Amino acid sequence: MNWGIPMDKRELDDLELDALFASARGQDTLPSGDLMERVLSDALAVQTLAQANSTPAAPRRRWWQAAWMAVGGWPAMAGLATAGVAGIWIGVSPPEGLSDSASALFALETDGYLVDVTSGFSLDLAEG
Amino acid sequence: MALDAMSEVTDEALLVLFANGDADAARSLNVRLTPRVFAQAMRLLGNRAEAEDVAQEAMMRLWKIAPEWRQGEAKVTTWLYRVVANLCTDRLRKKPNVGIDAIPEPEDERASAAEGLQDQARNTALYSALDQLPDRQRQAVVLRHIEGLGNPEIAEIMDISTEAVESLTARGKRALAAALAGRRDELGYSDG
Repeated sequence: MNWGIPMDKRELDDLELDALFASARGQDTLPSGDLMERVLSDALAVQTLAQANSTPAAPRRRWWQAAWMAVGGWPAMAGLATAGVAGIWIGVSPPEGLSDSASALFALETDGYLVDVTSGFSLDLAEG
Repeated sequence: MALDAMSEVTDEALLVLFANGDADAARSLNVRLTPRVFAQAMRLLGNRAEAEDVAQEAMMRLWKIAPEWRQGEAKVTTWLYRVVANLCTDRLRKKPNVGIDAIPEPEDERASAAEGLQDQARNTALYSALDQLPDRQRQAVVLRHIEGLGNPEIAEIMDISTEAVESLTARGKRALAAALAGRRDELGYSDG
């Protein structure tokens, strides 16, 4: 039914549109050899650039960074700090055994250096 | 890896190989994808030179994104369809909008009776009519009826629901049917 519309102005029906789409699908849409070469050339250039950028450069260090690394860096500093804290702790709260032996040691050494200055004097003083 | 050995490898895996510096993967992806990308651009733009520019640009974007490609998120072909559709839309928006009547008629009526020229005339008329459609309708119609993709894939490419795809293609077809009504002679449909 064309509702009085002239045949040459009638809208296309589904079959006619499908035929048009099929014609478009059959259209030569192969890319040229030149395009294929350009795209491959782009791909290889991007690859080359990416590989060049991913090569790690040697890190530059300042003199103080070099010195810091020479003494062991943060791992060495952590060990030093641990030893310091342990020393303070032992000083504040020495283990029992260590306390006795330390006391004995200090007592002995104190005795070794004691000089009895009154033994001779007291006699002299008494005699006048 | 030889190109033959890559025929079973997915596009996504080839892209990973490409990102790792495999030149054969670049060749294989080029052979697989550039013709599809070009064909889609050609169907959206109807102009060979412009379609080649779009295809090269779309593939360049693929090469650049390869190191960041996340497996399993999207198909490479779907991603490329979207890129090509957007590039074509940008170009069509920049072009001055010529009316369908401004598209030249075939010069030689007798020659257009030949089958090849008839197809060429049909394609010219179809693309000029497609050019008059809103961007989204044109994309949906081309992807559905010329590229032959399914609605779910088109929905993913266009980032819309499948119902929206159906609506766009239906409206696009109606608009095409109306736009081409006055060109029946040119299309070879004047007997109907």
